[in-house]
Amino acid sequence: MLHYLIKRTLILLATLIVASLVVFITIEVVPGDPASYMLGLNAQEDTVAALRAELGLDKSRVARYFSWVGGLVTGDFGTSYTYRTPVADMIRDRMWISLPLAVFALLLSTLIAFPAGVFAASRRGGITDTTVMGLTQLGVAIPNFWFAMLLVLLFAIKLTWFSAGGFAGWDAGFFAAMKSLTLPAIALALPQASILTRVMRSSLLDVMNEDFMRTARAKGLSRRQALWKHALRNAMVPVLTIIGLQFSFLLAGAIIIENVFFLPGLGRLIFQSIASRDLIVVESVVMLLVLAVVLVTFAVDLAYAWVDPRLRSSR
Amino acid sequence: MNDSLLQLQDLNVSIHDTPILLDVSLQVDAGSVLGIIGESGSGKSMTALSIMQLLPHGSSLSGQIRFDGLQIDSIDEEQMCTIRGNDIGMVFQEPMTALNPVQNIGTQVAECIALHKAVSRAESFKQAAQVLEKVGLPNAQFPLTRYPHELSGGQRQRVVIAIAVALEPKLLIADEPTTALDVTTQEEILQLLKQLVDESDMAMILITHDLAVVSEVADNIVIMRAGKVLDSGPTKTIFNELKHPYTRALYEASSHTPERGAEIKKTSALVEINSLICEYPKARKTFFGPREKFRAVNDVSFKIYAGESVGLVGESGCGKSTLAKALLGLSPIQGGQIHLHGEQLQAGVALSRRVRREMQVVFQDPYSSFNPRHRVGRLITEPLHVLDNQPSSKERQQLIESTLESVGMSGEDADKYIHEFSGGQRQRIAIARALIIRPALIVLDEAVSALDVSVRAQVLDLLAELANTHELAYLFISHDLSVVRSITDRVLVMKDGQIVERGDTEQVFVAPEHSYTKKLLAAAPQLPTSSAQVIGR
Repeated sequence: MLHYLIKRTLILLATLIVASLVVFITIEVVPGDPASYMLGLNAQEDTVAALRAELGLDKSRVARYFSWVGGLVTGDFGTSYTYRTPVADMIRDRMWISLPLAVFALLLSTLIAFPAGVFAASRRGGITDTTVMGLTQLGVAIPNFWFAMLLVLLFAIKLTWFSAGGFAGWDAGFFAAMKSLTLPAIALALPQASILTRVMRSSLLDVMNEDFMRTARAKGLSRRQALWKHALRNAMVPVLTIIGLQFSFLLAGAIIIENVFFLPGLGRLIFQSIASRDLIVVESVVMLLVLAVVLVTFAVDLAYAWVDPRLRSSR
Repeated sequence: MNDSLLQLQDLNVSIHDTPILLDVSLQVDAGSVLGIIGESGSGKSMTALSIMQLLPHGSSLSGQIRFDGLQIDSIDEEQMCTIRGNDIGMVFQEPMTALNPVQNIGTQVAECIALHKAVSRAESFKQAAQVLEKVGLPNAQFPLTRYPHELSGGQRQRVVIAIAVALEPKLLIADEPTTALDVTTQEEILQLLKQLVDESDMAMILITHDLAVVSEVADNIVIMRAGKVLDSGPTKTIFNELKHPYTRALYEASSHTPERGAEIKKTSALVEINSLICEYPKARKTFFGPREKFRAVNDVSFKIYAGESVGLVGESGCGKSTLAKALLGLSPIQGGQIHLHGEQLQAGVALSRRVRREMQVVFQDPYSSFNPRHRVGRLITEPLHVLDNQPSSKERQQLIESTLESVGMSGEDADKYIHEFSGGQRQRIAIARALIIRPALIVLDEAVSALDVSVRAQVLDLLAELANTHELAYLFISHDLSVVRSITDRVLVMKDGQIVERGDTEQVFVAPEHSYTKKLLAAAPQLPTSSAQVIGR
């Protein structure tokens, strides 16, 4: 087990180093000089040069890479080219929206998908199964921004239970904040829950055809007992994989939903930064997302080992 | 008649309107062993599942199943759950997959106990430990916290047996319990089952395709084919009289010896292997430093002459498949040389086409060794790409036809897909694929192990015939000693990566010298000699 942990940790670190290089190099090749962009088309050449010096853009690439990475490690993400504020602060504010939103959406999706998947699998071919499968088909097919607008129309405009957009802020209290995240979370969770339900169902059905399920029944367990005691845990590996992928996606991929609900999240931040060539923000946010993805993968790997003892020994 | 523990009367089962069992009647007395024999598709497993009431979805059942005074066919599922595992235990064929991989063995055995007895959790584990001890897994060596993947096939089968007998059921159903195991392990498991039956008044149904296995254990025998009971009676009578033609056919097929041509002259060695060494890296234990190595083939030398059939026997893990792969150039070697026609092969490097032309292989599983999306004509002509002069499409067509005919198929089969054929036919097609470029050597890696006895007899005949007509040499790898005896001139016995005994096949089988060979031969189940002796043996 210790061996497994060390190996995963080393892989995690290696991924981060490679990712930081890729991010840095990609940003370097992208055309557009931040200094001239910030000063506009009519800027004097010596003004641009002065600004470049101020931003540290005149140093060698290697030096800039190391000062960037060094900053990341110490929590100094640099200063935004556009807003002239510390990037760390900008990210922190957005993180407090995007992270809870992603967790909220994932929680919803899991809470829907688990029972639905188990339910459908245990009644395979029945009406319940067909209904659940039909609904998930719909859930995958509906674009989530359109679903988001339907939610706004119904719950915000018609019923006025929720506000149509914006974020109340954590200062307004936990419930007020969560309330403004509810509709976006539902909109995000719908397609994820649909996919997860289908994965859960098919994974369970695979496991239910395994020999050991027959052994379980021969012991005298009922179908339901066999499903809960023997099938569920065995079916978890593919489900965990999908949950891991979904969380990473939800963290950064909520950009459209953030726009629909006017949420100042990470997705919007990165979108705006790219548009205004605020490369230092782009670099930092992307790196942060990479870190999140890598950490989630790490957590999923640990969960695999917890679920399946075969992964704990060796390898 | 009514005193029997289990009685099936006119049992009919169909799945989605396809009849599976037809008027099956049989009975098992308390404390006795009934052997059910049949080839694949005979309905023997379905009979067992009917008794357990665990038939697949869409099955319908009529007829009577009486067990211990209960009418099993008409009781409800809830009551059946109290019988399964408690009064009837079941052991399955595949020990590798019959246990839940994510639960330790203690939990799995204790679950059965806790389910049927009102005992505390601690008590159920205590009893589980006792049962595991009884089936030969002492706690000191095999603590309850072991997971299935930490056990060998034979040990896992012991755990499955422990689950089945944990509550001292009145009836134990064992469905091909030893088919997936090595001969020596098979013998141990059979002994264990026999012992469990002898020690209590538990009855057992032993389902198998292997006449020799059943003859050693069963008091009575039922012979099934295509869902019907063809023959039944006490084991001795059945084997002595061989009254039913199908019983006789099965018996003959089980002890079938194909007719083989005159002995070949050992002129020049076709293949010569000298001090071959194959190693695998083991899983890492420490993070840094070199990985430990496992030596699968350790200093092996032998020759195969043109037209000769050489057997390679040994238990799983002895290195025989690694050896075959090395010979075929499919895995790298760490030492020694392989010569073909006196020319040294470059180890681990892709073999030249000239070498490839000389050697072909047929694998065990005729189901998974073909691409299901290609037609037979394309499948069997795949090796042709190693020829220097590619045949024209007309020649290719003729080649397909003649090769298919030489393995007893017809030219029309070339347009079919592989799923349209039975197991035996698929193995013929696999042989056709190996044969089409006229190799000098075919490696047969457990090539007949998955086949039913009657089909196996036909395939063995075919191999013997092809060897005569095409001057083929075979390297016949198998764990089945009787098959090796029937088709090889010489035999190599392999253990732990080394060849421990070699010699002329009859010599080795009649007078084995190495203790391991003796052990193997003693463990192999023997067909009883029948007084209605088979003609032509």
